[in-house]
Amino acid sequence: MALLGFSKLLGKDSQKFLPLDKQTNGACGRPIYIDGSLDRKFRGLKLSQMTNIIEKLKTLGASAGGASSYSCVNDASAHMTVIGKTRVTYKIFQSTNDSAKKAGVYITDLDVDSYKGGSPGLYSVSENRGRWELNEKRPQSIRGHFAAINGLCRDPEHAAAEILPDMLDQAFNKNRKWEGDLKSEGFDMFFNPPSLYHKGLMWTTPKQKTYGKLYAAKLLKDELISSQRKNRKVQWVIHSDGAKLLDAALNMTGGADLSNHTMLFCSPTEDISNILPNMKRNKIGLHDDVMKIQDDDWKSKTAQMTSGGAIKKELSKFPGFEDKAELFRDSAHKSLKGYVDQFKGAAAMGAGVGTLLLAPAVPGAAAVGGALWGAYDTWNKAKSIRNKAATNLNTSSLNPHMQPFKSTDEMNLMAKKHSGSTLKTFVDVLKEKLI
Amino acid sequence: MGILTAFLGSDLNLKRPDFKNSPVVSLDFSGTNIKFADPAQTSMFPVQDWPNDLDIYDERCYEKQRGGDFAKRFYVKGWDLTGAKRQAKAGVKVSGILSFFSDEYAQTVKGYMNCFNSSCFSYEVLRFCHDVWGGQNEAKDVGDLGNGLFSYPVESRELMYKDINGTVWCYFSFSVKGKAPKFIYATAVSKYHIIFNEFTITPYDDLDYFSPDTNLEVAANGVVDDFMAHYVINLSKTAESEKAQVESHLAEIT
Repeated sequence: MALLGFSKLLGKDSQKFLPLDKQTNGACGRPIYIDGSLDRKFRGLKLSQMTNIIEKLKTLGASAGGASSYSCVNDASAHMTVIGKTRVTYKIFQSTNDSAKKAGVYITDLDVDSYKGGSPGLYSVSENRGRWELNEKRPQSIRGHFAAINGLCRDPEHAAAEILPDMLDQAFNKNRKWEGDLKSEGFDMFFNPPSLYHKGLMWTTPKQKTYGKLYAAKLLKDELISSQRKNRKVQWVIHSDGAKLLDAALNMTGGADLSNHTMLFCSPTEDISNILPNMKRNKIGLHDDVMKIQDDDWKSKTAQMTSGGAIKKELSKFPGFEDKAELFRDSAHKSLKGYVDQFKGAAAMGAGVGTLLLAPAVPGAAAVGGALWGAYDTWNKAKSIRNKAATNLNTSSLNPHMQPFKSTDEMNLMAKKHSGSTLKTFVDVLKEKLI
Repeated sequence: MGILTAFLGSDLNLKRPDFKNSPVVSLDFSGTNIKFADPAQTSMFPVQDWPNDLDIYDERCYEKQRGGDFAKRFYVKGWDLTGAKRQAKAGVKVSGILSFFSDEYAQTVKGYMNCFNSSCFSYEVLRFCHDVWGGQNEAKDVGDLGNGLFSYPVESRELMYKDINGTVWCYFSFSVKGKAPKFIYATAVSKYHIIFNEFTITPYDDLDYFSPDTNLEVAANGVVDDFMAHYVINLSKTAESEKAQVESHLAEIT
């Protein structure tokens, strides 16, 4: 049904709008109305979170449409304000032609920012009795010399206890040049919610996703600047999608001096030639290796392979990294050639294992029949294809994206240990691809 | 409906790893044989500690701890519990940790060490709790619960015991109020060694461990019980004689 009168101006049926609270009835400040159907946005929230959001919405009576709010280009009455973790969209009317509705603020939409699987921010992690543990109390700021941003993971606990410690150990603890002792100090993890990047999420619109990432990036920016001000030297491992968050955070720093930070990228999924200019501007130090990518980790290699020249150009601007810049350019070119060759190889196998494993969609049963034929064609090639195919799997022991420091032989050994035999590793990858 | 549920899964009947039909790991710890079922890892983290035979008296196999004892994580595995539409709802991770209390360490603690002795054993278990969670509780010493953020045993009478496949295991849980508990099973395997099996339950996506929407509590506890039910320890001759020494001493004084 077409909307008429005041409803047309609101863009929604005005009958659905209810007074937010008796304190916001217009006696003091502008009256506030809210679309009753927005109650669904509060589902699943704790009472304390809900009360907090309502209290903040009440402040719109005074602050709506102010200097800190965003105004809509197409509609002069529409505004958007970010209050804490909530983004509120509303319209302000100086008068209405509806006797039941006063002039005031009409909340038309809100996005309560919640992150599936843990909220972004700092978590402290410590080692004891040969095992790492995510501490219950969250730190106010980075405590020691080590920090990390997670990428692909299922949960903060897994990232903190099982994924990042090994990377930090390999990156900073094997060489005396680095400061601090990882095991005695522990490390701080900036949790980068995987729900910002992956499927199985609670985000309903791409806008929400963007907003969530910006909020997380703002927290990270604050953390980077805060530890710099405290003159604390921090050595970072940035894993996988953590590079995307770092990129967004550095864009917000306005070139602030971050020279106390040193970073290593592990399996980055963002083209680092995009991040390096900001790092240079912020005077962030680079780890000697700059980035570590497992040879069969296509997820990261595809992110870098088309920008070999740009990586060389940007990295050359960091003194002492000229040789590394050259090597990365060659490596990116090789990856690009290898990428094309792999598809050629996979295509040559016909309905072989290559096609099956590399196909984003599940092919037919005929392909499974041809798979073994293809797999035995070149044993090592097949293992490499298996590793590449496993970059999107949950089974991390088969997934090279989670093992940036491992050589291909070590990766193959790990896969064999996981499955019991090399042949079974193919079955396991196929099984997970097909399910 | 029943067939669909069987095929697609159900949140009220989370799918657990199959311990009955999984491969068995058999480890030789200096003559002591340890066997347990080892279903394939399904949780999303890479396994860094693969089980291997060990010379458990060689300090180089371990990492020295702040208290002077040694520890090694010799096993880790994680399994997802899957519900409707085969979605992972939670994970259960087990870490097998071997603690080595050398003579040198014994001198610093009480001058005598035999983990088969109940007072030595319970002291070391309580110290394990203090070392691991006492820091977060701001507890000063073994036996102090500090601010009580974590609840864990601080007195030996809080430790429970049960016989599993002929081995007496000490077990207890610890938790932060309202969150999923962790479980520890511990047993002595020589005069100087204790094995700790630590089970961490991680509900995914802010799922409530105690919520009736899933049978998470039952399923997770089931994994713990299944893992332990398949755990068999056959002590070495040396360990058997160390155990017998304690038992005969106990018989003498009673």
